Amino acid sequence: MIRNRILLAALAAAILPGWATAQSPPSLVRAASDRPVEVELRSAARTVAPGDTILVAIRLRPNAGWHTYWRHAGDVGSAPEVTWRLPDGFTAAPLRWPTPERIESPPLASYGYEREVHLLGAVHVPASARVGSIANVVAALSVVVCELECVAGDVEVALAVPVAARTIADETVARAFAAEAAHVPARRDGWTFSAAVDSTNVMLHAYPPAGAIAGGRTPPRVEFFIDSTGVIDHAAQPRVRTWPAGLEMQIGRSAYAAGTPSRITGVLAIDTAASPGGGAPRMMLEVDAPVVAMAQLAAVAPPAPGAGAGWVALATAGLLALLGGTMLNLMPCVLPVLSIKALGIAEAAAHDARTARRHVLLFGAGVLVSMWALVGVLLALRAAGSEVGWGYQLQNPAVVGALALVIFAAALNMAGVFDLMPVGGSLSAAATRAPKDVEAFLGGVLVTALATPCSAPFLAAAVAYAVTAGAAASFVVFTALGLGLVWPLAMVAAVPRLRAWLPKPGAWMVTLRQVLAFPLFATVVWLAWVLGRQAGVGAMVVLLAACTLLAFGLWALGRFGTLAAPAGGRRFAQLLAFASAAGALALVSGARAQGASVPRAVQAGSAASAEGALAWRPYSAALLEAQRDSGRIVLLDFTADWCLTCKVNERVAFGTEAVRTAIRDRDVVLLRADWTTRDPAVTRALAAFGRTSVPFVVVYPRARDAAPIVMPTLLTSGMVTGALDRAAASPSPALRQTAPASKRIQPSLTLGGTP
Amino acid sequence: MTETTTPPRRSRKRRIIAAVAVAVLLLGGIAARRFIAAHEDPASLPDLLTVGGPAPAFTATDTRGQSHSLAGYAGKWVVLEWFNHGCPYTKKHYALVNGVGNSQAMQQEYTMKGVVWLAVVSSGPGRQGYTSAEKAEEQARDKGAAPTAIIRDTAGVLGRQYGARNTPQYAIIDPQGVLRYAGAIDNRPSPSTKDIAGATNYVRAALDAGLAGRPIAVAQTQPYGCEVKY
Repeated sequence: MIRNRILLAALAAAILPGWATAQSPPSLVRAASDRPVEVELRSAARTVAPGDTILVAIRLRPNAGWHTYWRHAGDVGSAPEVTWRLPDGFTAAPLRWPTPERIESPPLASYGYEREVHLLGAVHVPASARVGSIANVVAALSVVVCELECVAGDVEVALAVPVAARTIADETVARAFAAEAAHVPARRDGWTFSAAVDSTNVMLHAYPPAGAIAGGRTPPRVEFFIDSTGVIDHAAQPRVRTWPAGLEMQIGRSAYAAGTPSRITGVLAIDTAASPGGGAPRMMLEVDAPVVAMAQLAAVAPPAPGAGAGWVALATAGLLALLGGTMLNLMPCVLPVLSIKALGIAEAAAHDARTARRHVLLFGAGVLVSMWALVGVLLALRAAGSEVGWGYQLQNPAVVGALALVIFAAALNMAGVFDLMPVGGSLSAAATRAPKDVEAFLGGVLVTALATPCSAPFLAAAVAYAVTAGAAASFVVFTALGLGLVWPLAMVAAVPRLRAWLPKPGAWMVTLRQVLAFPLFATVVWLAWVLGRQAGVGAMVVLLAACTLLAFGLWALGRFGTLAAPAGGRRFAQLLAFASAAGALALVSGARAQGASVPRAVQAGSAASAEGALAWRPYSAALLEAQRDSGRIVLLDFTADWCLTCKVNERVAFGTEAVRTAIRDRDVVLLRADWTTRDPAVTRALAAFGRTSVPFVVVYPRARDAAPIVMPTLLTSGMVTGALDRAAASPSPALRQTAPASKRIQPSLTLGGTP
Repeated sequence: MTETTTPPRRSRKRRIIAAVAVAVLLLGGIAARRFIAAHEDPASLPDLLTVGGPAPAFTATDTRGQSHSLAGYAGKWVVLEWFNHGCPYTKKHYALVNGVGNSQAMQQEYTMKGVVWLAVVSSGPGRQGYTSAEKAEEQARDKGAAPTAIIRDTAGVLGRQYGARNTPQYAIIDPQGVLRYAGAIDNRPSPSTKDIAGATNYVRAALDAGLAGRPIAVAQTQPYGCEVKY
C-alpha cells in the first residue's frame, strides 16, 4: 500500500538520507517519498523551568504493513538504539517501552509494534539552566523496520524547548503520552515471580497478590515477552494454567539454549477478563524471575492436570480406573489371593448368604480404605515436594520387607501352619465372626498392597492423571480403581446365580488352598530379590531371618494356639506369635536403600546375562543430551527390579540376536533409567512423558528434530528393531515449526510390573 | 463348574453378561482413546543441526549453472553464507568501512587459503531478495563480493536442509564433511556498521581454529538478521 505522508509540526522528523530502501521485488514499485517509518521526537512541555523535567517521547510511525521493534526484537530485526545528545547538566532517563505485539512468521517470531508507538523518556533540566535559553534535545537513533523486507537506518531527531520561569505543558501531547503510558508495564506490588528451565521447557510462575486474578480462572490471553535471546522459543505457543494462588506458563525452550540463565526478565501481559466486544483490561508487569530448580518450582504449584482438567477428563480417568481395577483382578499378583477370597465367599454363602455379603463389604472396605490411604500418602509426599509414582511403595526397602513378611504370613496361613479361626469351629458360630471379619478386611488391604505395583493396561494413564491432578481427582480415580477391584467379588456375593457358577465347596478346597500357598512363597522369593537389589545381600539375609522368626511364632500359634490347647499355652503362643511378628517387622524396618550412587544399570544379573553383552549405561539427563548431540540413536529404558513386565521386556525384546545385531549395527546408545529405588531424576524424566509407571521405553531418532518414538508397554523384538529402523531413517531436517514430542500413553494389554 | 445339561435360561444369561462385558470393554477403549488424545501434547523441538555430526549432503546450482555438491568438496573446508542483497544486516557486513567490507575481506582471505565459500540466496520466486542469475552476479560485483560461487537456492532446499532462518547466517563444514560451526557471523545483532569493529567474529574464529587444527571454541550460536524469504 503506497501512501504519501505529509510531515506536520515545526519539530518534524528529520529523516536523514540514511535510509537505504531495500531492493524491491520487481512486482512492487515503491514511491521514493514513501518512507517505511516516520520518526519524531516530541515533548509534552512548551516551556520548562530550571530543575524541572521535560517528558519526551520518540514517536515511531511505521507505514501500513511495516513494524518497528521492541527493546528485545526476538528472532528477526533489532531494537531501536537511542543515544541522547543533551546540553551540559541535562540528563536523560532510560526509555520506557510499551508492551509490544508478537509478530509471527513461523517458525520465527519477533516482538515489536505495527502501530504508532511512543517510546517514553524524560529529560531532567538542571537547576543551573538559564531562563531564556533554549534546550536542544537530540536523539540519535538506529532503527530497523521490517515488512517482508527489512530496512535499517540512522536518524537524528531533535527538539528545542525554551527554558522559562515556569513549565507550561502541551496538553495534547501530554494526553498522547498518558495514553501510551497506560501500555507501559509496571513493577506491581505484591507480585512475585520464579522460573525454572530444563532441556525442553521454560516454566514461569507468577504469584499475584490476593484476588488479582479472579477465582484462579485462566485468563483469556497471557503473553510473555522475554528480554533475552536463547532462552525460550519465541515462536512457541505457551501453555498457561492458573490456580487461585498463581499462574504458570510453560514455554518451549529455545533451540539455541546455552546454559541456564540465573534470572529471566521480560514483560508479562495478562488479559484479566474478556469483556464482551473485546477491550479486555490488560495487566502488564515487568517480570524479574530468579531461576530455581524445576522440582522447587513444581513443589509450589498444585500438580498440573493432564490436559483439560475438566469433568470430562475426570470422568474419563475415573472410567479408565474402573476398567483398570477390574483388570487388576486378573493380574497374577492378585489372582491367587482373590480366588481364595471368591472361594471363601462361596463357602460362606453356601452356609450363610448374609455373612458372605458382609465379608464382601468388609473386603471392599479394606480395598477402598487402603486406596484412600494411598491417596493420602501420595498427596502428602507430593506436598512435601517429593516425586512419586505408581509402585513407589516398592521403592522403599523397608516397605518391600514388610510386604514380604505379610505375604509370607499369608502363605503360611494357607499352607495350614496356623489358622486365624480355630480348627473345627462351625462357620456360623459367633465366636468365629470376629476373626473372619478382620480377615476379610485385611484381605482387602492385602490385595490392594499387592495390586499397586501391577501397572495394568489403562492404569498408567488414569494414575498419571490422578498423581498429577488435584486431590479431588486423585480421590475419584483411586476410588474408581478400588471399586473396579471389588465389584466382581461383590457380584458373586450379591447374585446367587453367579454363585451357582462357582464350584461346590468340599475337601478339595483345603488342597487348593495349600497349593495356592506356593505362588505366595514365590512372591516372597521375588520380593527378597528386590530387597537384595535395593539394599544388598545383608538386608536380604535379615529378611530371611525375619521370615524364620515369624515362621516360628506362627508355628507356635498353630501348634498351641488352637482351642484344643490348654488356655495358658494358648495365651503364651499368641504372645509368642505377636512378639515374633513385631520382631520380624523391626528387623526389616532397618533396611535402607544403598548404592544409589553406584551405577546399578550394568550388573551381571539374570537380565543382563540374558541380554548378552549389551552395554547399558545409567541414565542421566546430561548423558542423554550429550549422546543425542553426537547424532546417535538413543534407546532409553525405564525399568525397575520390582516390575516383572520390565524384566520380561528385557529378556524378550532386548535379548534376541536380531535386536542385539540391530543395536550394534546402528550404533545405538543404550541408557537405562533404573527406578528400583527412588530416583528423582528418573521420576522427572518419566513425568516429562506424562508417565508415572514402568515399563516405559523410548527411542530417540538420529535426527535431533525428530520426535522420540514411544514404545508400547509390552515389547517384542520386532517392535524394537522396527523402531530402530525408523530412528535410523534420518528425516530431512527441514525448518520445522514444531515436531510433536509424542506423549502418547499407549494402552496395551499387558501384565504390568507385577509380583 | 458346568453341568452337562445347561438350562437355556442360564446360557442366555451368559450371553447377556458376555455382551455387557464386550460393551464395557468397547466403551472403555473409546474412552481411553479420547483420554489419550486429550493428553497428547505437542511440544516444539529444536530444528537445529547437530554440530559435530555429518553435515547434510547437498547438490546445488550456482548463478552460472554450475553444480556444487558437498561430496565434491571432500577434503576442503566449505563455508555456506546465507545472503540477501536487500537485507540491512547483510548490507552491514558488506558496507565499506574505511574502504574495507567485513564480508568481502573474509571471502578473499579464506578463499585464498583454499576454503570453498558459497554464498546462498534462498529467496523464493516473488519473494524479497529473489533475482535472476545475472542480477545476482551484478549485485555481487557491486559489493565487491568474492565468494567461490553464488548458489541460487530458489526452492529453499539447501536453506531448509541447514535450517537457515536469518540472513546473514553461516555453516562451516570441515574436510571430512562434519558440520563444525552453525549460526551468526558475530555477537552484535544490530544493523549498524558501528558494531563491526568491537564484535567477536564467530566465523573467523571458527575458520582460524579449524584451519590450524585447534578445537572450535564457539560452535553454535543463534543467528540474527532478516528472515530468509523462502
